[in-house]
Amino acid sequence: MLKGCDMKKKTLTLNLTEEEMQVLESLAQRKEVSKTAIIRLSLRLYQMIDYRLGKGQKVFVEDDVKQEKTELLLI
Amino acid sequence: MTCAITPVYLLNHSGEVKEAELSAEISIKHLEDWHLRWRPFMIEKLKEIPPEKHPQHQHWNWLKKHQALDGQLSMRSYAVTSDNETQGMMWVRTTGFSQIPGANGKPIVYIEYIESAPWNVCTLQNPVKYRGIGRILLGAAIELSQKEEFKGRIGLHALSQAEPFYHGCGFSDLGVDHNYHNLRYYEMTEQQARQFLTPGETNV
Repeated sequence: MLKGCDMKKKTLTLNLTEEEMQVLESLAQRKEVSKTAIIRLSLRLYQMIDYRLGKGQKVFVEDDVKQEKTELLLI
Repeated sequence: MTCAITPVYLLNHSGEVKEAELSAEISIKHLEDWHLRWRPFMIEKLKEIPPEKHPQHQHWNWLKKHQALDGQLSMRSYAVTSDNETQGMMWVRTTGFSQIPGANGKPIVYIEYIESAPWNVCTLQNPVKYRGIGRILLGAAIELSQKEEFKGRIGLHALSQAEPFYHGCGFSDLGVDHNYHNLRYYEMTEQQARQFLTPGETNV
């Protein structure tokens, strides 16, 4: 089975608010990828988090400097 | 649907070029080979060599990895086959973030697991059956990174036995990662990736 960038792609019209579009454009510029790549990365990350939470696991973010660990709450 | 297969070339123990295939997905056949060929070979060879020379990845279970990772959009797998026998396998994640100065925070392909068949590991069998599997799999990770618009950037945490290999491939050594089993973290920049794929060309 072909996966990811090797798969035949489908086109989607995306309706975003001005603010969402600004964030998307800013991320694409900072990461030096297209807006499509940002959307695809977002989907992968969201599925990964959803998968972990679905297994009863927790997702944390850690601040190395402050030595703080905070649970990422997704309700 | 069929899995994308690319012809690649390995060197056998005599230095002769041998045709092989790079599959853009680990299949049941590859997992069967791990279970029915890799494991028994490894178990037998481990009896012959001192414990300090045992491969640090000897406990890796590719069947369990497949069960845990398959189906996730962020995960991609690869396998190299020759002589109708799996010669190497790799899992990568396409949601990594660069840690290298100059590209910090930019997306990379992160190599989760990469392993050659035990008969291709020189501490288990010398001479090895085939050479070049690790480099083919790294090349696949770089090409995936390019296709994903990550400019060829890849990264990984290395087991200490594999550190010389990654140095030789041109990775930058970013030191020991105390947040990840105290393994050294290696990353390849856009330029290093280009150099890896086309070693004869001089980067300007």
